[in-house]
Amino acid sequence: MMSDRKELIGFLIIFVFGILAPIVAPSHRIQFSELFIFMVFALTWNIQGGKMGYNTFGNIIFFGLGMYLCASTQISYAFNLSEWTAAGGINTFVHTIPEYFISLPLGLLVAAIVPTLVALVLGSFMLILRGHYFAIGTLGLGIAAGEFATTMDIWGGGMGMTVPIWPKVDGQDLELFLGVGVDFFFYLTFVLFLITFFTLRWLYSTRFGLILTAIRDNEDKAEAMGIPTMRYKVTGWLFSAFFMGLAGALFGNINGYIEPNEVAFNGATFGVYMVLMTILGGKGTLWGPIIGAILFQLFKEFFWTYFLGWQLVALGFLIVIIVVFFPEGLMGWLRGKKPEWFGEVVDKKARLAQVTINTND
Amino acid sequence: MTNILEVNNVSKFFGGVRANEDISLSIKQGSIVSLIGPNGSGKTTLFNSIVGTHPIDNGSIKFEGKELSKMLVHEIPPLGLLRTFQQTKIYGQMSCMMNMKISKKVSNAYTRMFDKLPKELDEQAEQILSFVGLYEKRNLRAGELSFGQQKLLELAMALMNEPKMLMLDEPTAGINPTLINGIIDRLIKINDKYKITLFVIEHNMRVVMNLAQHVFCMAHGKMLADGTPEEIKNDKRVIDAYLGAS
Repeated sequence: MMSDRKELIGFLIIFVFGILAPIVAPSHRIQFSELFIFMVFALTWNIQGGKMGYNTFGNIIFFGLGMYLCASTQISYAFNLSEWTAAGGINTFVHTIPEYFISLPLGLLVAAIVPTLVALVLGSFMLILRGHYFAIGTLGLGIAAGEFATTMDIWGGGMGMTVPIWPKVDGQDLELFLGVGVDFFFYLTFVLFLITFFTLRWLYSTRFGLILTAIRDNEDKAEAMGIPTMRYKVTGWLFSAFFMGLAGALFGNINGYIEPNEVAFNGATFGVYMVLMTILGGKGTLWGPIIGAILFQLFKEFFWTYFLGWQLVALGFLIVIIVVFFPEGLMGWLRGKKPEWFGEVVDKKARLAQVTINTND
Repeated sequence: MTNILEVNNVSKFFGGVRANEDISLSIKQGSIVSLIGPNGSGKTTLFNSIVGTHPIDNGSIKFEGKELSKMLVHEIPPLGLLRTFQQTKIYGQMSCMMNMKISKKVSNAYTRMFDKLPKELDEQAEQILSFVGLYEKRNLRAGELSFGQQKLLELAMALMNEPKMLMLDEPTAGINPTLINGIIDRLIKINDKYKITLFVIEHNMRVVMNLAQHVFCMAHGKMLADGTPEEIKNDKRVIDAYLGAS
């Protein structure tokens, strides 16, 4: 845990950024929204991969599910979903303003609740697996989820589906109005990030957080001490699924288009990004995933913009650099250099102290 | 005195290997009992059977009259029966204090999952750590401790849980001889002061002789003999099992 003052500075930077970013750099609002979504990716992946030591590739399921469910709810509220997907979407159907603003919260609600329930079901048997078996198992689940979406005709199958566009007021300049939509979703992602961050910050300060770490360090011991580890593992996954579902819902609306394997259940990009970001920043810490997400988004946008075609090569290099030079992430590296920043006592005396038991007392 | 633990005709086979065959033993409340036997005689398997690490093939295990053999691993410690491991198991990345605080027995109710750790735990943890001689190491990461120190930490964590009965798997293995005296003293004190029944697997005969009131000896998965330390020391079958029958 970082000292209170450093945390406060961190909060301030994020708050100022979150409020001013779309005003100062309006042309990058989508990238900023994506950044907050990425932070949620990394923060929630960190619950399993960092805190609990369960490397999951399955969290993308909840993201994709949230995306599809939110969009379907939004559409179904005003129109017939199968007609919408068959017609190719926005060309024929436009939500009125009240329809849009009632259906969106409903969609978000569904996108939060259903993936959480799915995590409860999947978790109760997947989390019996440990180590590599869990990683491979969840990888398979992620791919299966994509294939499943491909077969869902009501979601447009492999063709995908469009998401309701920001409702237009008659006579208003279209570009300006769509811009308001971009702002709106930017602030929603910002709020989602804040809720995720503060929930996890609270979570890690409780006995629950400590037990996650205990499971990572020695699950057998935790069991032998009477801790029902399964319950904690599943509950941890529920938190991830809840926020990933919401992240998916917002991302679908920002992206405007959903497709099974390239957008929703994209394990090869998003599924890998969340792992990379967390490891880059420092897994198992609260701030590591945030720092990792910021650095990663900067890196990604830079290479995708200026070195298009080489971005995957650069990504490969990044992975190698992280694994070789920062295996513990930036936070872990910093912890090694400045342990006192993390409230760790490096007392030579304690380390060298002889253990003796005074048998007279 | 009543029996706190009763093991009746327990068998555990791993394929063709008869790790435990028809084992019966009973342990009186408040006593210190030792389990000895050559390597591979099935002592740790018996421990694992008792605490539910693996299902047993036959027999019954009762702790304070409650049948344990169908229970899950995590359901048994809340009853007050706790074990430590031969190869130390501790939470390596956490500080010793955290290791202690997480070991406190808490109700497993869903509503208690998100409790904060109470402040009073610090004091209790420090007290127990100094009882086993680890007070000065309390803020170090547990993984940094030596093997012997980790054994002590495991003992301290077990005490933090306030069990009724403690099963220790070779508590003095890998610990220097001077410190062993201290541990014997502590174990006797734990038994005497906190009324914790002790069931100890031990190879070090000096420890067994100084500690135990009753000794069980296993060989080849079977219960070979039991009696007072003196009787066991002079039992020809036990000597044969350790040194090989002529």
